[in-house]
Amino acid sequence: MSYSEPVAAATHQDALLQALAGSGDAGLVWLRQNLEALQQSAPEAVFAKLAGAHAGARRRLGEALLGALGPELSTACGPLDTRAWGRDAAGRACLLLAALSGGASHAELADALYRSGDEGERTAVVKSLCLLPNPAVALTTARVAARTNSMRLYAAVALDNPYPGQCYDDADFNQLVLKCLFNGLPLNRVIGLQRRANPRLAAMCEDYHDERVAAGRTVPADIWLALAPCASPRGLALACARLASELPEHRRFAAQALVARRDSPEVEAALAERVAEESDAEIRAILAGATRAASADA
Amino acid sequence: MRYFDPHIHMLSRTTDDYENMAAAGILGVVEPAFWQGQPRTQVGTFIDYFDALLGWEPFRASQFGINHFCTIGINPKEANDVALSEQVMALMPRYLEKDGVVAVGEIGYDDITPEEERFFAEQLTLAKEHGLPALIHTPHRDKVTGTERSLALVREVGINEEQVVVDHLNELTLPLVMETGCWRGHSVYPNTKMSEDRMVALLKAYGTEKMIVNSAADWGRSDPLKVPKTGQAMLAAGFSEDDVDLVLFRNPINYYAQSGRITVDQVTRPNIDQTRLYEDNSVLRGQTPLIEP
Ligand SMILES: [Zn+2]
Repeated sequence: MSYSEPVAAATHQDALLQALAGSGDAGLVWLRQNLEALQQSAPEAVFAKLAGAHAGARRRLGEALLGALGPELSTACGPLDTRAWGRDAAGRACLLLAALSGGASHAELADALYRSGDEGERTAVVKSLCLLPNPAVALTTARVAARTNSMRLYAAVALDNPYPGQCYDDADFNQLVLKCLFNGLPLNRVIGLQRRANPRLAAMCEDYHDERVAAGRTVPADIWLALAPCASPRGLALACARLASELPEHRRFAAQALVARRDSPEVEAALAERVAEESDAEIRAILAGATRAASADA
Repeated sequence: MRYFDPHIHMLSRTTDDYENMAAAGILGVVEPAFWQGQPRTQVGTFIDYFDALLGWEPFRASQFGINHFCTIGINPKEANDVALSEQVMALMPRYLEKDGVVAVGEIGYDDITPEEERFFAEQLTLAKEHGLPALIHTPHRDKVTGTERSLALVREVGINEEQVVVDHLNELTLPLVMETGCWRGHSVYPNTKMSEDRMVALLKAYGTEKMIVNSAADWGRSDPLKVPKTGQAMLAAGFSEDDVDLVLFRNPINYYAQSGRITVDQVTRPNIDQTRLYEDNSVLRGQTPLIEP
């Protein structure tokens, strides 16, 4: 799967290096020396060099966030926002990209780096998979990472990362969304959820909803983001019912999810009816904006 | 009192131990790589062992509010398997760069063979190259000779003595280390090696500078509470609370702090969040998660 023309690894590396240089001097000389050494090392020597530098990067570069300096990188998986990346993740991505230039297999190098890493290193590897010229070659690595129950690592795969949305098949993507729901990771940070939603995901979410209700437990409020896009009539009815929930989070996410489903007359009617009754101004704006947009589209 | 156990093999201990250690005031531990009671037969077992010291075990410790660090090395017993040790040596540079690794160790002599000496020297050199302290195990048999030869090798390799701790010392071997700049490690065991009272006597005779005490608890008969028990014995013998804090908390951390990967200020009680899961396994087995604010 390719979203756009592959961008040269060197371009991403330059953009990240520039952001690093802008946010402080710590470890920069060390990083540049290692990048140069990696570019010059023979394919059989590149992994050992990469693994050593990758492990030590956090201590040299620090963990400060790139913030506003973090570039939006145009990757084969789509745009990648690096503003929430730490200096360590940015430096580690540069090291991986530099190592790729030596002719080693990209998939093998990324996988070996992942497997040899501690939690912080593994997190950095999965954040940078989209930067590979052909990200799909690292699918095995991403799938291994997504089996972890370390929530820090799991969040790096699932949240703010275009990789799963672009490279996972439906079965893997659906599992990822369900695992986010199970563990309380926010679905509005799963990139491509709206585009990748499918009837099977809607059915899985509906089942999960029913299990939680049957067990007398709470239903995660953001479930509607995954359930509504391809929901069955019953699923849509469940979402519509939550427009009147006592819990503002449920009302907000149900409204957000349902405005994209106003093709259904029942949904359109439920949204229109709710606008008049909604007490929360923010949620009312979502509902009202949707109905206005609907008439404009028509 | 706050305590730090600078040498304990937690992989072979139970969750009860972690609970008791936390309750006794232990805020952090260092787990040196050692042997597993029987020789390993392949390099992959070392990889998985090192990864456990850097992954699962620190996570498990954190569930009980204990900070966990480790040292990486080929122990003297297994150094006698030359072919295997050569493969492990090839792995070490990348492990020695990990954030959780605070020293090379435990290394040293066991039977005092030429093979042991080769990998002991090579690992002292690696420690020097990576700017890491080195944790030296002294042998149970022929201890005085083993200690003398360890100190000679330290000088020969040229690693700064301040970066070295010589461990498992007793009344006969401590005086040898007192003549050097090395730190002095003592393992307080239920029966052998050293007792709390003997430890207190050594502290009275030699002072508290560079003195370190550990439990060296492992899969054999040992007691993971020996550090706090030594603290009680020190207080009973008239040492001040600051003396106890120095020997049983600040000294060991300051020794490992030479790695640049641990500080006294960093070793506090972490928030316990037992709902955090690691690698498909939780230490929770049906109990109610304890979450501290
Ligand atoms: Zn030991």
